[in-house]
Amino acid sequence: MSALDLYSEPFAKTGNIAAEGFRKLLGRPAMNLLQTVIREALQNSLDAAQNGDGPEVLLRTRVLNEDEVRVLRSQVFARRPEGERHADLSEALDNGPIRVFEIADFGTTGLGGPTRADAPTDGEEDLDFVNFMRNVGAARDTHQGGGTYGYGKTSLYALSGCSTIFVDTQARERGQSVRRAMGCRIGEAYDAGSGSERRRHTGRHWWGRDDGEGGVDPLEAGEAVAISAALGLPERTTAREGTTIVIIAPIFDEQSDVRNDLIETVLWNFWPRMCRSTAQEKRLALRLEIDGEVVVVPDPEDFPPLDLFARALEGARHGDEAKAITSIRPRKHLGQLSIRRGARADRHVSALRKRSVIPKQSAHIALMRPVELIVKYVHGEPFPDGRFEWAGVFICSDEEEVEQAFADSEPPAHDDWVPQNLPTGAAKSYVNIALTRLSEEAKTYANPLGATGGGNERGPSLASTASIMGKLLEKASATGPGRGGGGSRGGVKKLKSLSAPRFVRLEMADGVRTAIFEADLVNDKSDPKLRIVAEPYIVIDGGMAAAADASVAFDGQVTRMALGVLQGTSGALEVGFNEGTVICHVPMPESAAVGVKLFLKEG
Amino acid sequence: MSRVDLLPRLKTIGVSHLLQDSNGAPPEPERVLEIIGENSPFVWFAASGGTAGNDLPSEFARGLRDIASRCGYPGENSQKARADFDREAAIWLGSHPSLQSGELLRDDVWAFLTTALLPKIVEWRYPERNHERYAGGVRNTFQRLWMRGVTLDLGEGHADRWVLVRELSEDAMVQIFERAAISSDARLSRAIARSWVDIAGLIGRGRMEDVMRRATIFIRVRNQVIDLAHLDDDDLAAEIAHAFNASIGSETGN
Amino acid sequence: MKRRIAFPFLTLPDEVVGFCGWMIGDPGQPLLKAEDCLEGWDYERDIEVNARLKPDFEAIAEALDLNKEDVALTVVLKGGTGAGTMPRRVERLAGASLTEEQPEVDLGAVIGSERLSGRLRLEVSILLEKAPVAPGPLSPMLVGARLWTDRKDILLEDGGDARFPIEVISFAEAFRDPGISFAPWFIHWRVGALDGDFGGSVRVYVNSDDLVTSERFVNGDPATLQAILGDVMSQLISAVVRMDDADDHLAECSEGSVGEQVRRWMDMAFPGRSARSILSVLEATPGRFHSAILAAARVGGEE
Repeated sequence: MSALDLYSEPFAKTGNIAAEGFRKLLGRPAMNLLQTVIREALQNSLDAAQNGDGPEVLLRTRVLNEDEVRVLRSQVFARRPEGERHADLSEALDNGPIRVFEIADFGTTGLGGPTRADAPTDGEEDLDFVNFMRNVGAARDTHQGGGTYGYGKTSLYALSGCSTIFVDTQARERGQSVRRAMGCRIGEAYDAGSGSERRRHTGRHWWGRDDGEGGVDPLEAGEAVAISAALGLPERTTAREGTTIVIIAPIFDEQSDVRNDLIETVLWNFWPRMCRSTAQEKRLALRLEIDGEVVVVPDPEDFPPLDLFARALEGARHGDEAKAITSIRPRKHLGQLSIRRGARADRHVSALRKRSVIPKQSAHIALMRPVELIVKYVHGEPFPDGRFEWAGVFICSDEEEVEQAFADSEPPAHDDWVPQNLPTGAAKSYVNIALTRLSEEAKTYANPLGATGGGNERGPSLASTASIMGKLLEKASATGPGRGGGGSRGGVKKLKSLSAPRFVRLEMADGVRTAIFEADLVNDKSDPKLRIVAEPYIVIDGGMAAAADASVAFDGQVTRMALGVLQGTSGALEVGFNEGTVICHVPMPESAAVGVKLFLKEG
Repeated sequence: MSRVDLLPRLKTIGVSHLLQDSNGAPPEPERVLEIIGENSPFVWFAASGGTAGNDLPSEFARGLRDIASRCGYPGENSQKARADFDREAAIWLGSHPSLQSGELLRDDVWAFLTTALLPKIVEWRYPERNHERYAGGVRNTFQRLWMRGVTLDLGEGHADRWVLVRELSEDAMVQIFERAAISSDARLSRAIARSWVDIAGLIGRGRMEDVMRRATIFIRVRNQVIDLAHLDDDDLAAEIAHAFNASIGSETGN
Repeated sequence: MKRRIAFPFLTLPDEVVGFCGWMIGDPGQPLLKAEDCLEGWDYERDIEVNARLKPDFEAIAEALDLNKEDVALTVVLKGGTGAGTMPRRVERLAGASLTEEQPEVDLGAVIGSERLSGRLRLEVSILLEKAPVAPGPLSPMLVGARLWTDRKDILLEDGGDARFPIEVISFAEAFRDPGISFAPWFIHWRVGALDGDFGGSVRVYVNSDDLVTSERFVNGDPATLQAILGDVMSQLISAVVRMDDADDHLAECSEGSVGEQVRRWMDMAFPGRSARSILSVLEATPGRFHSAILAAARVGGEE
């Protein structure tokens, strides 16, 4: 087989979108790149599912063997773009082993329809091939489907170290089976050629067969079968329609653990389509192969917290223990919210990693339309009790007007509901109201009392009044003069006062175990002979020993008192007009607790 | 676990009414009915959580009246008769299966049982008619006996199940049961009671009042800084014995 | 937490213990942060409680002046119940050792409610498990030494066992004395009974016939509560300071008694003053006496 022909797209006079702009179309990534790729690719596969059964998807990473590398270098990508700025391509293809990441779906429609963007269409035929391989940003016309081509596919190129993919598809055109294969690269814009031939190029390149008009078409039929087989791609027959996307030299984060990243990404984003209870026609059958090893992807029911989500999904589907989310004005049923809670189950090994996207304690509501593809999660308040978690599912109503409102609010990546995307009107209100209600529910589910103010509905219960009044018991004297009558509150003249003593620390002083207490003295300076007297006491049952118990001799005496520069070595200190912090040293008995009582003595 | 028998609760102010209106004497049954009859603002039940309207109050009254009668009530009122009553009533209360629930920790329940049902027995047991013998609390005529019974019970399997209830003097009981820091911990209470019996056997009951009073103070002081409940049985017994020895030591030192 | 008393050995400050707070709820259900009262309790509703510590082991060793290898501690969870300042019955609910390897200690228990009464007082303590081999001069030495404690008192039943004994009743029904039946509140207490338990001896009755006052009271209106509490304090303090040898009487009162409470209130309203000097305020400047008490009776509101 001869090497594939290359077409590098120059800027047209009418202007193309340059590849950089093309890549930017992806918009702000709400998720990391691998997640975006998986979401987009799987969403497309689910959309392309043929009626009857859900699609089968194979995700596979592998290192090409020697023969396959040779085919890739000498046949598929033998011809290279001219000009500069293609170093990434040779870096990936010409040095060392080549790794690929394949996303293959089966039981889908494949990339059918015409192969050329300029082919006339009758409006009946799907334009999947053109849209996927040639056009950018064309809205895909699946009735209430989840995906669009155009934006999402840029992520496929972004994941490739050389912005290059190879595609093999078994599809139909005008009812006839077709097999197609083609390479495509979306690099940076560059200049190439010399003299008057020098032109600006968009950075987009296709590898296929010369169409005789300066462009390339995909390889077809036997040639496509042969090249795909030579590259070791999954086998296809007319009975196994679908598409294989080969991402060349995928950039997997150095530290990332691809196997577990893939498991949790697929499950976290597509679990509603993978549950044991999911209907056959919606069900996604996923196979995962990492460098030759078949990896078992657990069912969501065996992958906490998705077990709870799966139960919540059941509830939302059947309105079972679910809450209707409604708009009052205009009056409309917006959808069902179902929340389930349970003991926090141990996580699957792939979700135990530090950077796992799976929450350690779920407190999330998954938002979806009836198509049951997750748009996003609303984060809520987790249970304060870490042993429990909750999971919710909201499915918007399938009433045309309502579902369209939510669908229209989605950005191209389908990863959000943005009411601002809608014109003012009922549709915008629906989305706004639902999001507000859902965020309230998420915040309050774990602690419904606290959030609604609790006491509002309380009847004649005296419990809270008793508790407020109870503040005056027990803790009373520990709160010091700040709240007492001794301060200057209300313009009352300052009175002499001494706060309750506080224990500060224990220390060894001259070989004696000594407790240090302090208290605050406020002085009205009316008594030049004012004294402070300190009496230590043994603590019994949490308080001062009663006189009846005083037969337990405690001959402890205060050994030092101080207020600023004033010092004393007994239990009394003349303070005169001074004020501030009084320090008091009490020697400790061997196995008893000690407090100290301070008095003001007027002279 | 069977349902809790809910018991009537008599408010503090109801106790005062019953006693005031009868000028200090125990109220006559007709008076009691008049004041705390139906729809009385002074008597209430828990709103839920068990069975109200059970036979327990009447069984309680009958049981204690029988014991009192055996001990000489109403005619004989010697110190021995009262001591016999305290002992037998404590054992009966401590072993009654329906008297183990949280209801019995409530003062207002005891206030009802005492003031409304058995005021005559209170007068017989405490002729001085102190208010605290009627109102709920650690000095309530029957509540104090119940506390002794449930706390000092050595268990059905024990060869001499009620030895502590029988042996301890009134003063020793008061030292234990009027101090919540001790009586709230049943194991600690029993350990002290056992020690009391041992020491009384050695030095004679006559000296025990002072020795016990000081020993319980030592124990409470110690319990403030170390958690006696955390010690195993042997260490706890040693700790208690140490307190008694220290108490005896300071007695001879005086 | 400010401490008022000294222990004869080094203890643990809150920072090194990492106590995460009390959790309470129905068994097997998610627990919530424990509040001062638990709504809807009765004898048939069992309770699950949980206390979690995330201690800083290194800081603990340092606070106790011990080598890390020499630190052997136990965490104990207790539950107490029954009226009174101290619970009438206390039981050990759970225990676990605190080791360097275990970054978290999670203590939980299900409490059978038929044994509970009125309130649940939870206590979690860190105790010394083994005497250290190489203690510092102030290190704890005795097994069971209390090194740190936190308590939480939770009301289980309304009214009867409220923290401050209060009750709303119809005075028209409760008092035959027409003089009293129009009063907004009545404070039930007995002169001279200083040694009785506060919870059993003092009780505020609010007149439900007085709709305005009783409603404010139930709603915890700060001014109403201040007036009532101020009245309680004034009545008790006045009576106590008029007693001969008031200070001696007060010194004899044990924890939780009426006298102990009155002594604390005196400390709040008249810090550092003896009963005798408070009496002189009462006699010389009664207005100042009552205002100082009212000011000290401020609860709720902006706190």
